[in-house]
Amino acid sequence: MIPVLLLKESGLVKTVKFSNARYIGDPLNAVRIFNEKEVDELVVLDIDASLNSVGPNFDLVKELASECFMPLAYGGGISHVDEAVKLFGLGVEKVILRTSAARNLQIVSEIAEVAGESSVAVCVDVDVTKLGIRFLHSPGTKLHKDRDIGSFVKAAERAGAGEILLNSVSRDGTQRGLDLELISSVTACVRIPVVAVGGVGSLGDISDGVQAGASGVGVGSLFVFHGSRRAVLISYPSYDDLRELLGEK
Amino acid sequence: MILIVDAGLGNVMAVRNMLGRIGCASALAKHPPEEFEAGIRIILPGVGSYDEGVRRLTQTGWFSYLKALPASAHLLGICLGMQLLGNSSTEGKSSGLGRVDAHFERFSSIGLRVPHIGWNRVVPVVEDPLFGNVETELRYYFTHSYRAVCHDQESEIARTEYGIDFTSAFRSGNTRGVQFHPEKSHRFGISLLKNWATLPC
Repeated sequence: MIPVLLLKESGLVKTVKFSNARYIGDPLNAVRIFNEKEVDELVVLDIDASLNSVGPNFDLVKELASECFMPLAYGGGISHVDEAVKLFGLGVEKVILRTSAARNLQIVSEIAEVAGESSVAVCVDVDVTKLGIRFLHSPGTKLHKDRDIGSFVKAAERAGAGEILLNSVSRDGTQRGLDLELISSVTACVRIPVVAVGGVGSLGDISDGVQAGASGVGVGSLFVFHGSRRAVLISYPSYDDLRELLGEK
Repeated sequence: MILIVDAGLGNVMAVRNMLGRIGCASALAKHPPEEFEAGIRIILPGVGSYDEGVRRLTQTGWFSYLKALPASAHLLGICLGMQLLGNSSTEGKSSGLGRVDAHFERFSSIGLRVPHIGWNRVVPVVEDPLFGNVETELRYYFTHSYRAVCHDQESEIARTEYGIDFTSAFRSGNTRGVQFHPEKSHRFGISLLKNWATLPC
């Protein structure tokens, strides 16, 4: 179970269906809180960096990494292997590629070559049409609106990706549950771990995701909002609660 | 003083940050010291592929230094750093440092997701000061595709289960290797690094 933090202009935000970014606080502060709560892993995605064609904000990542005593994965604006290497040097365990991977999976191979396959994840955003047909959401690339999600994740695995971050656009921020069908179909296509994100509204949704085949579940709203008015309150269940939830002995 | 091998193999800052947090002085070292100093402690962190790791260590002069390091010196390899302490890996063609008699093989069980990414239990099989007095279950963060196969059972100090039961920590003299990332395993990692940093010389 992995908190997913979104950055926009150096602030922490939360979106609904990839829009309406709402400012929720200082990212460094959030990292400190998650440290104390002994979170399994943290994913930080800069949702501005690719859109505005700026590279990663190395200063901010460095600051976050220095406070983060748990695994840190970073995505946003990485378009060259050198940028990934620089991020590893700052204390990032894993880089997440989205736009650049959708443009050309060669970059995944290049990073896996120098840093090992477990250091590179490919983020796959999936949206649905009004008729319920799923397609790749990848604006600005040739793959945008492509319906063959399986082929893309298989290609990403072949290219050397060590993980798939499977993100459901239509469920983002809605807290109405993960897209379990999508998780089952994607996990059946690849052998690498799949982390599912988008829609978790309760701890039960997390165990559903794991049962559907996900190796991990990313959580946004659930850990940062509290109550029906969505007040900002960072929370995280204890290890024992999680274990009980997932039925481990 | 703890030297962290900074050969461009990834997460050096993460190690330094955690040492700072537990109050241990450390320095990043792109090249080995000119002479061997008594009481030196070295951490060899690493993220990357085997041959690339050997290449970078060789390029920076670290390879020959670490190969010749006396067995009494405290050396800790983390993740790829652990793998480089062994003889070889099926991931690459290069020879490792050969400080611990082990080789590395890819996880190959059917149906297992590789790489092994995430938190997992680590069970010490012998008493080693690295893990101190184990009272609770130990959990650490892993991210790797290759696992150690020790040729000498004596060198194994901890095991972890992922599809199969594999060696997650080994030692030979004062050379130790851990497959997981203590620097990213919050309180478990803090106590491991503290134990290691205070081992008597």
